[in-house]
Amino acid sequence: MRSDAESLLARLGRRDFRYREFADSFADMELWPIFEALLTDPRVVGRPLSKLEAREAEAVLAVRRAEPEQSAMRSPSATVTSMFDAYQDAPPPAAERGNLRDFLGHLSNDPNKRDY
Amino acid sequence: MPLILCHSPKGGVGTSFIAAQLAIHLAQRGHDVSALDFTYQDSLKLYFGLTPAQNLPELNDGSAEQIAVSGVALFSAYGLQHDAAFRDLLDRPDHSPFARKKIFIADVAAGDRETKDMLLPHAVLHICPMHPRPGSLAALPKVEPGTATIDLVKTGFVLNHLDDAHRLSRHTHIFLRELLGSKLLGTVRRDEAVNEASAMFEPLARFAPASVALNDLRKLVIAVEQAAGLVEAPEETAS
Ligand SMILES: Nc1ncnc2c1ncn2[C@@H]1O[C@H](COP(=O)(O)OP(=O)(O)O)[C@@H](O)[C@H]1O
Ligand SMILES: [Mg+2]
Repeated sequence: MRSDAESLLARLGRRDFRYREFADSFADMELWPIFEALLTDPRVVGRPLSKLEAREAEAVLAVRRAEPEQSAMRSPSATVTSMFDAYQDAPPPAAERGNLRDFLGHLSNDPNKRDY
Repeated sequence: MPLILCHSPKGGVGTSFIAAQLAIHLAQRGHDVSALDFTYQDSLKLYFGLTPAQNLPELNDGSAEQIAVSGVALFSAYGLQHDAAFRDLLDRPDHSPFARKKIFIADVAAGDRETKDMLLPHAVLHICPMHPRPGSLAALPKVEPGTATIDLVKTGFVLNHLDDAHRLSRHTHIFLRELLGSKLLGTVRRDEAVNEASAMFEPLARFAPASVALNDLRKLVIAVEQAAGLVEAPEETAS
């Protein structure tokens, strides 16, 4: 695991994060605007992230962006960054967990990779 | 005892098909299963190989002749949300028709929020089938209005109609897997044999035993058994 990714993930409380799986599954996914719309919809993901959480999440996704094996297909022209734009005016951190953090957590949470 | 409620806020995503197949596969694994068609459309029976003209006995008509196909007892339950006696039964825990050993699988139409809301409190599991299509994704906030989709505790999602030849389908699969985590109970691939079997009035397993969708359903039912807490059921057959 790259040390920058490791420290970012540690800050997000994901010490068990497995960088390989993260890269494998997420690098194959293009962020279609409809995905982005769902990720920024509180009716789907709960309360919006705080500024700090959004910055941390963005840093984690930046690692994914750096992965070389991006598909050569026509991109649906979404950027990962824009998905956090909606958080810029988010309220200060609340005591609870961030739901986008959970989303990122799901990337690593599942040690027994499903084969469907 | 348990009720498994099949409902999606988006119609046409395969809710009836998944409901029927879950019933059939649970029966195959030794459970005592009844499938309840709560829809006006009345097409759950097609996935059991019945014809449109074959009427199912009403759930609340004890004297009607029973129909069992592929090991599943089939009932029509349309209109029961307006049946005061049925509502009354649901509200009396000791008398609830769902407080028995039998597993009930309910097929509820997308637009029928009333029936869905009536049944949900009595269900051990809510199955929400999805399509890898924008219309189905856009309906995610409506699965249970008032609760964020990723916080739903009773809901398990099934991505039906999966087709890896299509990019949006592949990406939707990855997206939902990451968004929903273990709440994505499984996927079922698109397989024209599903439609052909219905057109032949044959159950899928008889019409196309090698169907890829069947293969996916066999995996799905194991996840459903676990999510619904049915694992300690009487006859646990090794798959
Ligand atoms: N995995 C699948 N592959 C191919 N066709 C499918 C699949 N699942 C469902 N279908 C077909 O899609 C249509 C809609 O399915 P249905 O179960 O009636 O949807 P709903 O109950 O959500 O309205 C039907 O024609 C059905 O045969
Ligand atoms: Mg239907």
